[in-house]
Amino acid sequence: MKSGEILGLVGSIGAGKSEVARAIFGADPKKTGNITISGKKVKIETPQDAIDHGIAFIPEDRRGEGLVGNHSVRKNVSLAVLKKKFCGRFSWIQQNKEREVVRTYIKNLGIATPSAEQEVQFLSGGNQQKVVIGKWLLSDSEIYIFDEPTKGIDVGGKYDIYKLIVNLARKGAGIIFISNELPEVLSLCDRILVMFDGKIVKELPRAAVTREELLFYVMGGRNYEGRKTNKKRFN
Amino acid sequence: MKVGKLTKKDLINNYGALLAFITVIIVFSFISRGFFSGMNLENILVQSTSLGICAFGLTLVLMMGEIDLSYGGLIGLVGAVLAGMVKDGHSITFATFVCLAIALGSGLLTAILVVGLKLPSFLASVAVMFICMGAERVYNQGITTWIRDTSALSIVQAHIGPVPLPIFYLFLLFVVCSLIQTQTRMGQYIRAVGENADAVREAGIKVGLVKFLVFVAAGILFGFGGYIETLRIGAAVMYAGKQLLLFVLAACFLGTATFKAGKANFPGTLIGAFFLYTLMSGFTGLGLKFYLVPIAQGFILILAVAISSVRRGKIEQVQF
Repeated sequence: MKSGEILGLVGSIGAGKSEVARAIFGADPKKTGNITISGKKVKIETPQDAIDHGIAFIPEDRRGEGLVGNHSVRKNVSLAVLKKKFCGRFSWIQQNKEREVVRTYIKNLGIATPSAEQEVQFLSGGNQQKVVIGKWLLSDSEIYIFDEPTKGIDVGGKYDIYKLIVNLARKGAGIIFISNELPEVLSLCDRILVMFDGKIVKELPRAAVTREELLFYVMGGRNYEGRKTNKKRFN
Repeated sequence: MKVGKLTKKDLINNYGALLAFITVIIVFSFISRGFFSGMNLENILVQSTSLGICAFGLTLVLMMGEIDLSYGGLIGLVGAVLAGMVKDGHSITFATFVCLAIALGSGLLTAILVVGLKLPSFLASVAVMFICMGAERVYNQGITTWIRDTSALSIVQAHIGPVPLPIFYLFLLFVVCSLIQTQTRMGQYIRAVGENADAVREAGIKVGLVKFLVFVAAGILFGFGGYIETLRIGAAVMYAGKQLLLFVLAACFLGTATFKAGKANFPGTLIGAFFLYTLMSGFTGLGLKFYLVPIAQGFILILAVAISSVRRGKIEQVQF
């Protein structure tokens, strides 16, 4: 994957997309495989290792894994970088600095919340997702793994999140975009990897691919050009 | 969620137990002879110190969604060792360090069992409690040991200005714990772990380490509680921890009904500790037979928690 690229990872439910993402991030243990960043082989066994290497993971289950429900927007956004950015001596939190930074992120991301102190569980799905993204923006990540980021989010929220992703890519971040909604993959991604039954079965550049071809591979097809058609039967 | 305006209903829901506490104080002041005197109030505060300090330790653990009952044995063990060593002529400084080491050891053991071996914290800590109780029995052979060394007793029975030292310790620890909880990285992690450990782990924080440190810190607080308790009484009573076992739990859970509806918190725990001893003192002042006091206490507690929980529609429980 190149910097500035949006790499789509599609497949039907159960194809193993999320598992790949979680393994890259170190959230679940992996059996085999290496991860190479900027030509160097890196060892990622826990989320911490991944974060140290600039990888961010926006999980599919944002309430379950991405957010601390009854903590404020501020605490959620700063959670991953408290140590790095906001801690003085004796791990004392510099709350003024934290508040200020979080406020700018709320503004830039367009998070609709009455205040930075609002508990995230009371925000809408789209705004919650923005909080999760804000958390990783703040930690200066270079590689973002979005696992079905628009699941259960209304149209306006989806659009905001697409915009965010494109902006990130323009700024040079590498993005892995996991989804099973083909239209959004087709319009967003530069390159698409199709997974079926736990394996990557096909790599497609966006320019040439049609919706039908993508769907063909997602459903487990092997060879689009040489596929059998039912036309003859009807003739 | 409404922000800002506090309605009468919110007040009762969130501070029900606090209101009950204030009511109880007012009522006792009128009907219980000698209740509202400086000396009696000071007594209540001094009595609640060891309970309060242990309850702070438990509050820390409850905050991150675990439980630690090891204090039920540790308090007694620390007391027995302290009293025994002073009696055998060791210096109080040396005895203090030994007690600290025991508390540390107990905390470490619980931490290893829960974090390292992944045992459920309830079972693991009850096991540690039994081990400590057994060790206590072995050490003092079931005999109450009195402490007569005045330099040892002065650690607890002296005053700073007009304030008895135990009260000073209690409030000092309260301030320290509260600051750690609200102002430091660790404090925020502890609460976040209690809410959603997965999210914290995926934010790159070592959840295991946070839990480990909290169990160790709790062990030290429990040990200190036992230390104060022993010196306050001036003797190591057999199974002193058993006495406090449920009181400490009650103080913490009463605390969850006092402030921050349903969540363990330090101000609530402090009030909870005072509440329990206020009831005891008030009923004793009324001339209630000693065996009737627990019954009266029980009813008041039910009332206090019911006011806030039932009005809230559901009883929010700390899960572990």
